[in-house]
Amino acid sequence: MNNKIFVNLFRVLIILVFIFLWEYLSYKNIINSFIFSSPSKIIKCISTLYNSNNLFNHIFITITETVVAFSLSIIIALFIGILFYECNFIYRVLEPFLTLFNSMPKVALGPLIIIIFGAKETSIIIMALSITLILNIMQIYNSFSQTDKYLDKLLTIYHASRYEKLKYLVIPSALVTIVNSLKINISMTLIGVIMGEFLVSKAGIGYLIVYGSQVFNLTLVLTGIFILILISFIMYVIITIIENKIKRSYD
Amino acid sequence: MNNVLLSLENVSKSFKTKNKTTNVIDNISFDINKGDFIAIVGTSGCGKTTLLNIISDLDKSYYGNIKYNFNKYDIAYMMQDAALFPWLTIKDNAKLITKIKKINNDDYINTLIKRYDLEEFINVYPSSLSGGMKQRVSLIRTIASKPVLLLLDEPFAQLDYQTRLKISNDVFDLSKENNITVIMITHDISEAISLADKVIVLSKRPSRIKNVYKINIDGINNPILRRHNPKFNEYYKLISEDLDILNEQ
Repeated sequence: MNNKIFVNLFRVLIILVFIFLWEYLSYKNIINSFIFSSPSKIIKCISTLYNSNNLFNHIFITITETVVAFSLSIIIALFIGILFYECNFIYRVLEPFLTLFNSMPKVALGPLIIIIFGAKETSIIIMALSITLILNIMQIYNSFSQTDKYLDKLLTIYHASRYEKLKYLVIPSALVTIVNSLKINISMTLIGVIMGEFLVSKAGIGYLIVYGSQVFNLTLVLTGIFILILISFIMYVIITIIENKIKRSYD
Repeated sequence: MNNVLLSLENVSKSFKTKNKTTNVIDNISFDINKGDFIAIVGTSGCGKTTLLNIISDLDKSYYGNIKYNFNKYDIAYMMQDAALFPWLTIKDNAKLITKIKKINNDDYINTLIKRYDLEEFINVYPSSLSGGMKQRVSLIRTIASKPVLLLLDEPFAQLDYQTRLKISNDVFDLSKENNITVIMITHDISEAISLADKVIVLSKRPSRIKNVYKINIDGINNPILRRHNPKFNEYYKLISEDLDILNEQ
């Protein structure tokens, strides 16, 4: 317990030292405050965005796009994962293509996605999906493949149907692994959404960052990055809470 | 009147590896009557579990013939491990097979839960239970599925001696109360003699039937009392000799 408190204390200390050093170096002009900005300037920028009623609008748009893309990715991956598990032949045929697509830099697909889906939110969601979907499918399929053979044997003896095996064994046993992988995937989805916002959006945190760089307002750029870190952290915490709840029932 | 529930005729099984074929079971034939409690003993690796897998219809690649005078869906199987589902509560675990078989036996499940003092654990998960308690839940789940034939694959092997005696006693009682035919495979000769009406001794691989003992210990039908009867030791000696235990050591 004491050890945990110390670990957390040290983490907070590192953040505080970093902020203090950043502010000090910027204030004393040791680092270029135009490029690197400073914590006080970022707070001021957040306050300006808040006063102009823009802050929560941008955050809301990015979070909505992330949640939609993330949910879609999980639902589609779950269906395809089940299909692969039930029909291993399809997985064996498609596996090299999935690996190939996954290794491709997705940003290269950006122009194509915009032409096909238009310069709107759909393209941003598709961009995020292109980054996370294959990863999700592989993770879900792999966790399905690791289903306890002993329990599977038991259900086979009692002539359980494929649906019953999925319902009582395959999906519940993969749940912890799936939720665990979601922690990484939520960040990946956010990366995809920001990439999409860089390319097509008129609002959102990605748009703020691009806009800031275009008008050389690097404080706005760093504010956007700071908000992104915060969003990513909150989403990570939410998924960790869900994961712990599931794990607690198993242990 | 034909009382035969299951009949194995010249059942053989072999495994093919890279360059050779290994015979595991060689021409095994026996009949099992309704209500029998049969124990199959044999040395490790002689093919006992393979035989059980064949009888349970899990393994279909064998030679010979098996006649089932009942519905194959009425076979139940208890394994070494309690095989409880970690994400289901004790109550849900106990009800799982009845759900799959679409039968309602909730009252009987509740009675057995009460009988084995598991009431206070019905809403907890298996990880909170001891090995013996888990095996009892597994037993409730198995018996509640209303089997005609119960296959036991060394279900007490992972339990300590005292729990082992208790659970084996429970299996014996429930099988007799519900008129369930039982085939149990075990390494433990004492367990076989104390529980079974008939003990089939298998030879080393490829396994053949070496001997069949009809157990009659002065009409005693209590597994623990059987162990205290002098006849128990006589059967023990005979089966040990069949299994060549002393020479193996």
